[in-house]
Amino acid sequence: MSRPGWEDVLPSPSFGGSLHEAWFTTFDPPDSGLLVEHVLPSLLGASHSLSQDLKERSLFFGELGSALEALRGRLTVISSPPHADRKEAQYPWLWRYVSHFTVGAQARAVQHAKLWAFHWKAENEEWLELRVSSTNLTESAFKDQLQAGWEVKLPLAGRVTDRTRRTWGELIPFIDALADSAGEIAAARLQRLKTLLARVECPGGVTFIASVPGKKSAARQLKPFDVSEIHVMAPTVGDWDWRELSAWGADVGIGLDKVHLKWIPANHPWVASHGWAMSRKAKAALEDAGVKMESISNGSRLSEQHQDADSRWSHAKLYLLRSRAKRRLLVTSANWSRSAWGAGKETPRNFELGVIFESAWTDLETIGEPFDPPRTAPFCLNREDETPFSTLQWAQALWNGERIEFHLRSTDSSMPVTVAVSFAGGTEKEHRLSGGTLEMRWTDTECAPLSARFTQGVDVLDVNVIDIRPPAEFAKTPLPEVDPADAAALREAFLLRRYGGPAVDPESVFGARGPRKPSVAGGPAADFAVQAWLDARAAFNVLDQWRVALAQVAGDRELTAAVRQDGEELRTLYGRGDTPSCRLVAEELCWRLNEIA
Amino acid sequence: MKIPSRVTFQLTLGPVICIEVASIHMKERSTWSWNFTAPWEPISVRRGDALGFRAAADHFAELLAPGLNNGSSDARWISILSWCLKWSHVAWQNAGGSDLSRRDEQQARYAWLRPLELLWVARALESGQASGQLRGRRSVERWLTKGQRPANFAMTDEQYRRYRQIGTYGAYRVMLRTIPGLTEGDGWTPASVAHRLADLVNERLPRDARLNDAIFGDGTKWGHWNGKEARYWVERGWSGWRDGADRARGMLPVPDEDTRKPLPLEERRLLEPVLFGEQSILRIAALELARAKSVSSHGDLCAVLATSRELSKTVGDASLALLPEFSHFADATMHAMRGLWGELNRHGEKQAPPIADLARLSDLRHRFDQLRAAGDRWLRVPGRDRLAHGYVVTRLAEAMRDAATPIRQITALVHHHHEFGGGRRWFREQDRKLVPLVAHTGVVASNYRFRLRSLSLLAAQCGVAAMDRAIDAMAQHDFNDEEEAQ
Repeated sequence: MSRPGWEDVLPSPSFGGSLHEAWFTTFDPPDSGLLVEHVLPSLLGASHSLSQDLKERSLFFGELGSALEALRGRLTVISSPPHADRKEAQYPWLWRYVSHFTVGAQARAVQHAKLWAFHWKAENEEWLELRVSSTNLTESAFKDQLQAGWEVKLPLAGRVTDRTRRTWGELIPFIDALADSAGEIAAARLQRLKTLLARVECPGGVTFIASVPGKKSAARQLKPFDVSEIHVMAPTVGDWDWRELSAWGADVGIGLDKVHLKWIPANHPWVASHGWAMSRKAKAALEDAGVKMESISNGSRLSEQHQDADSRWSHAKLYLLRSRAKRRLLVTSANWSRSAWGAGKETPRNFELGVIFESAWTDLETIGEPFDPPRTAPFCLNREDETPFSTLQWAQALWNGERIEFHLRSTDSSMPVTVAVSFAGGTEKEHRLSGGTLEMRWTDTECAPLSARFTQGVDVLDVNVIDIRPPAEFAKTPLPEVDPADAAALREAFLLRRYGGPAVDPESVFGARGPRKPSVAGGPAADFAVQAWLDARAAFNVLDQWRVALAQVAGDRELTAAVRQDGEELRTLYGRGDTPSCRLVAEELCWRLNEIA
Repeated sequence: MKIPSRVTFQLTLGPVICIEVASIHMKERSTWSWNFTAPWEPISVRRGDALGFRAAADHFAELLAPGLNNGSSDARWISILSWCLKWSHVAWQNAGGSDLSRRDEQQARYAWLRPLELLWVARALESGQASGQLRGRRSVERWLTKGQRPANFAMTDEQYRRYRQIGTYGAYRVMLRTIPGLTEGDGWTPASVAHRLADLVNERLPRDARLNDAIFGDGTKWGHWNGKEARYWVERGWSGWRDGADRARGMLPVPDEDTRKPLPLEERRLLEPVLFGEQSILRIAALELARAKSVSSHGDLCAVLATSRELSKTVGDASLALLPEFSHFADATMHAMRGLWGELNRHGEKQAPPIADLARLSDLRHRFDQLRAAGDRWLRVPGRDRLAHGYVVTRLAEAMRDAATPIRQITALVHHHHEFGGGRRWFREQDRKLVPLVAHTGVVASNYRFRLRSLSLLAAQCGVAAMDRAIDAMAQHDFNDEEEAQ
């Protein structure tokens, strides 16, 4: 595949499938507004939208909350720890449904990779979609930046084999290391991704290039490609010195005079974004080392569709490798820095991930022209370290419905640490942590814990509380952002719809007071069919769909518990119905629930 | 426990139609690709419920203008949508659609309707019309500029998906579903009046742009078009969509300059009886608004409606009594919210001014004095406990009453916003500072309203009464901002 596509940044359901599990990695902490208003509704194929109209808004949040509840434990985000002053988040309840982990559980690490993986299911087919890109889970990454990415959708076989898994090369050790770094619960989630990778082979002609903190220089992974020339475009160039640059070149197996860095001149529109940075010291080192710096002119475009009016700045990280008659392109998260790649004995500090493949796309070679000072000079900016040192390296807060467990890794065991927990409803409680762990009893499901702020001296580390309550307990927490009076009706309506029941009828949801009865066939018979038969078929269809869902999760304790909880709620709902079919369905659900109890 | 076997049964209710599913088998699509990201224009998220008063406001709106919303303000679109519903229903049924009870089936049904909505927007633009209710206009303009080549009218997947709610059909869907004669009660299947409206629209189209049943019985392979409905309409079903657009302005969406003018008589005769039937609440409310003398503001109109004997006979004596005080308090609160937002942005987007500094500003103090006075009026009004969702309103009024100092008043309002506001919040208090939570352009600071403008415009277009005075008064507020944050 040589020419780049021009794709929507928002991921969306593929081929009519529904999302079964998702994994996201991002550098910046994920933006909850972006997730709630755009990414998740798109991934889930939501029918309703966030509107000024109250009913539509309630349907939106009811649908989203119900869908997220069904996927709880299967939506994972892994980022770097948010050491910078954290913006107050919109929709703090989101993190009850989406688990946000950070790296650094074992040793200091920066999570800079952007790997998104989606497990899709439709009828009897399953697929794995992988996206490797430069896109963080933030609104500015989506809106203000132009990103490059690689993606694949693969049908999954039923059989899991080690041989298949090994075809993914460096991706597997990368996932293992990420799992180690993000804590036990994240590791279990990533294990499921590894299992999927053992069900389908890596596409031919594709090689993963991965950086893992503390491991060998990732630049060495480029050496087998016998590179004779390399063209680099990345918005950040690290503070290289001559020795490190030489080591990097040796790792790749290339003379530095064969490295062409595509860089912006000081008058380029992207300067205003503050997204591009190279220090004067690094520029001098590159010049000393013989790296060829080439100017990206104001009119340069990355693809046919890239218009002059496009005000976004490029956050893409691209490396075009020439070797004999071949060209290969590396699409990656890695800036050109020692932290991203490592060099010689210096190990990478970051998790980075990229994909390399043969490409006839030569635009990166031709995009640059020599700088011509004083008309054009390379833009230089000394940027502060994005990840300043903090004694607080990693933290996690888990709530199981009975107690909140806090875990912290600090480089200073002598200085006291406090943790302030924020709860739904606005209350806050502060405790002192000793020995890196703390347990706090908390059973109030109405005021669920949302986030925890660890403070040690001047260092602060915020984490979202990971909700690991069993499904039956979780169901006690009201749906977010909807009137409590409508929440139960919304919940039941979307539960029925999830199992093949009728489309949600706003009239039956809003203003419905008192015990609700299940809507069955969705509407009156429009022909000579007998209504009772239609109702019966609709009700038993829901039951059948539930049984299929139960069979599909057999062997997975957590998922079985979730489907069982759905069954309990369906039984309650049909138990309130006053038709023979409702009674029969409630009865059969009762038997089946008892059987799996 | 042994589970007894269930007797299964199946009734064949009609001919089984095989639908060619649009999904593509993965085995054919397992190749990888690389790409750059296309520009992303996030659909603006309406953040119009800053105080959590929307439910209470909707209570009054439902009393006065049931079935309408702020977007349903052009009666012409009811005619056009009737035409769209009629012909998209034929196409959908030909393509195998029959049942509308489930979400997937409704989505399939809408997939046949949406291109027609957008083609009417395109037709209006092609005619040279630049105003009126043309939802999706920017995308359609791009689509036209690029020779109609981009898929889905040049909308992104997200925009195209959400058009179901934010498009024209979404604005009129409740009316189409709830007003007898427009649909069979499902919002999809055209009923008698919709058929007549559709025929009227069709007759007024130039001959080459009209649709007829013969077009749909031409041996089309319908399965082929599932998933490509937009292409079907543009290339096959309504390939004459732009024919005579310049000569047919009479049946296009109403441009802004004509929104208060009555529609042609023939069209009014069909629309008025269904929208404004004798003794209907819409007619009574519209007539009350039209009859109101010496009204000069939205607040005056609320007072007129609250004291209307005709309305009280229909909706109950006490139902509207709270409307003036509620509206006054809500407007005063939004006035104070906009004042805070304005000051926040005066300090620059990244700054967070101390609340103590804000409390010293005379303009803000004046706004909060007005807010407290309006809150006191609300607390004195009899029967406020009967208002559904009124506790949110009362809670804010009490909080303002109990906040003795300007600092506490600001803090109380900010806390209320954070606790009860719907959707994105504008700001919050942190360390005694006011911290912005959205970009300075991200706030929709409109007041709480009760669909009176939509009601008045529809009434004017249907010839119920002359509504100019009421519409002019609606534009005037009790509290005017010199610098409104939008």
